[in-house]
Amino acid sequence: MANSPEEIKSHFKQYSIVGAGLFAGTVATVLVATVPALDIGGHGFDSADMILGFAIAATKMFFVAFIFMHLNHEKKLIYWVFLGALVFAAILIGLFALAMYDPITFKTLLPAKPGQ
Amino acid sequence: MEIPYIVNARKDTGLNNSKIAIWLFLASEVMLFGGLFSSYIFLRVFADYPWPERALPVLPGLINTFILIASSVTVVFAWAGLKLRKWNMFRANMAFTILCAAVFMVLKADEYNKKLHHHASQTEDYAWLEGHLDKDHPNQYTIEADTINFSVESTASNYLDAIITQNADYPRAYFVEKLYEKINSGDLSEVAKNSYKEYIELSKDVLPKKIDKASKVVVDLLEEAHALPTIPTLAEPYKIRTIEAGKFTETVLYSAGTELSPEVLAVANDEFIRARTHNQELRTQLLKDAWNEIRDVDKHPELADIADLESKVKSAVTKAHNALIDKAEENNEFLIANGNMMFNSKGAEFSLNTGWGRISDSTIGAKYSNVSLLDGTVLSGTAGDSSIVYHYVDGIDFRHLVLKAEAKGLNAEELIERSPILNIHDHGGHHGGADIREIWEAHKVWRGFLAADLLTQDDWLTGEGRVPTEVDLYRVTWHQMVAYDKLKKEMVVAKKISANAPLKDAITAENWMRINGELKPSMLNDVKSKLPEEIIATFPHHVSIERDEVRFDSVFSPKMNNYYAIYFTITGLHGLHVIGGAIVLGYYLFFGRKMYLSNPEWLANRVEVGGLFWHFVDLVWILVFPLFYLM
Repeated sequence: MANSPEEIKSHFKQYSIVGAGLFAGTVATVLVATVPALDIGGHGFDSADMILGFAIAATKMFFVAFIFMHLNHEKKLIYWVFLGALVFAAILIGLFALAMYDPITFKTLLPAKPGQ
Repeated sequence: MEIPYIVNARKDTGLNNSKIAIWLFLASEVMLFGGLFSSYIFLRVFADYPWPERALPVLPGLINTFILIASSVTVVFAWAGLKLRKWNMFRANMAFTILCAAVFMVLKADEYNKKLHHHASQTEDYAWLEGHLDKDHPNQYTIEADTINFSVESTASNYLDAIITQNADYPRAYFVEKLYEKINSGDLSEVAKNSYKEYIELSKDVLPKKIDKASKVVVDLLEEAHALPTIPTLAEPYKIRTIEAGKFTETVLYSAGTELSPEVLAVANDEFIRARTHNQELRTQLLKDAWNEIRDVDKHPELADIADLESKVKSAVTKAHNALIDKAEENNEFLIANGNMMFNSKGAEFSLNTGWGRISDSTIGAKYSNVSLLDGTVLSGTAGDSSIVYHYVDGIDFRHLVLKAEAKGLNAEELIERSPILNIHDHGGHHGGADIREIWEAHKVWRGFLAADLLTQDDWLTGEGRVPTEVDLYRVTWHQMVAYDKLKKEMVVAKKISANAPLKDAITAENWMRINGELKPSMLNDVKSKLPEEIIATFPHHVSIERDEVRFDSVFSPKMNNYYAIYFTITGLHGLHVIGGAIVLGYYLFFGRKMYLSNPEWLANRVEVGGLFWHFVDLVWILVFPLFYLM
């Protein structure tokens, strides 16, 4: 991470460019979602729009994390902490796929009432 | 206590402690939001109703994205200002960051406010009507009640049953499980004693609290009853059977004619609970006795054999327990309190919150209608005006109807034509707007042109012609209502159609494309606190729906559906992060000067840590924005 005044000054331009890029990415996300001429795949929202939308969002997130949060200059320890959390989150997000097969069955564990 | 390594890096990690701490915290945040996004995906993929796709206004979301990105840039510059020892640079950038947070929250609050004042009703055929309710016509049930049947049994007993039954079963389940382990050791007494204790504690502590909650609806109802000219009075005496010195007696707690009051109900409730608690304690004691009895293996030689022991023990306990209960009943050991209190209330009109229950027949003047409240209270009499009246309607949605119809193999288009929504007529004149059927007929013409046009375009995914979405086909938004109206006015001015011509005549092969183009109202309307009057005037006004045609009715709150539940959860939690981050950054701005003068590097480190959190807040929003506003 930049620490000396000279290094920090040299990054000003980079921060501004990344900021402008994030604005542009946001505009692009909105345009592809709302302008019919830019609607990829089928008409309206579909998997193609979803992939494009998430690709732009992921790129934006990458730049925020690497440039603004200085991950590009961080120590390995930080990478491992963040990566571990991301993997965990990815597993959580992937968990919904398990519901497709509904592996959980419920049964009543309580015994019947007296007289039943 | 001084925390080490908050400015300088530790030798082993190469990082200062503050940095490690914030990254560990952010890692936990990633997992928290990861879980919530996982919930979003689950709810969306398995939704059994049309997901509200692109249902939020894009412009406020877009502005908020710009705001957070801009603040992410300025918070980096604020940190850089401190590293360069330029206090004014830090101050200006940090002030801008906090201003951004404030504007973000204002826009978010406005968005929430609009959602929480926007209403929707789902009719019995799963069609939806959206709009704003008439403030002069409260959304409530009205009934001129001849009788009120206050159910002591329901208000008290439902809760008692739910809790006591479950928890009385628990000791039994527990007994059976433990019995299997302990039967050979011969020590059952400890198990029985502990479970019995648990039950008694539950009776004394938990139950009264639940009862208080249950009776709140009734108390509210009674407060209203006191404001009425006719005070309901008890139709028949309220009695309770009690045991005194082993002798059965019957006590009249309230004689017929007693006025309905919270105190009367409270006493009846208390007596009922006392009787039920006594009975449950007695039953549990008898259960304990039954267990003690079967412990005597001499009396139950069949239990000496381990085979199928569990069911044999359960059967023996049940038999012994039932015998003891029969005996107790013969000896009048159980108390009995009346489960109902019937009050005469002829002529009294009640206006009830619709969230309290349901009305059986809402046709105005319908005799023998009743309102059943959630706590079991039933008001019977003549139905008043319980209709839902919209000041104006700004959305029609048949997607859910179509989903249900297709699942049952029915013709959706036919069902739409028969929908009560298309047979509603306004009460107070058109006010310039078309009525709902007219708008729907126009929409059908428009979607016909759209479908034909899309067929000529290639779908990249299937390689065939494109098709309209469900939203195009079965949902009419307020934007389209405005566009249809504008188009008709243009056509009338151009003398292509007469002023009396139906709305659908205004849509032609030449102009249909303008509906979702230039005629669509400006997105700027989405950031105004209220739509302009000239736009509102184009909507159907004073639309009334009969209550018994309505399946569900709500504002756009988490109650509406899972979409709004997860929307409010994720954006609300994100909003709290914005507020928290702004408070921390604001602290550095307003109280950081002293630290800057004494140890500027320390403040720079703190701002860096606060800034990392702020970037994370931005990061989450970058995902939230497309997910909720564009997909």
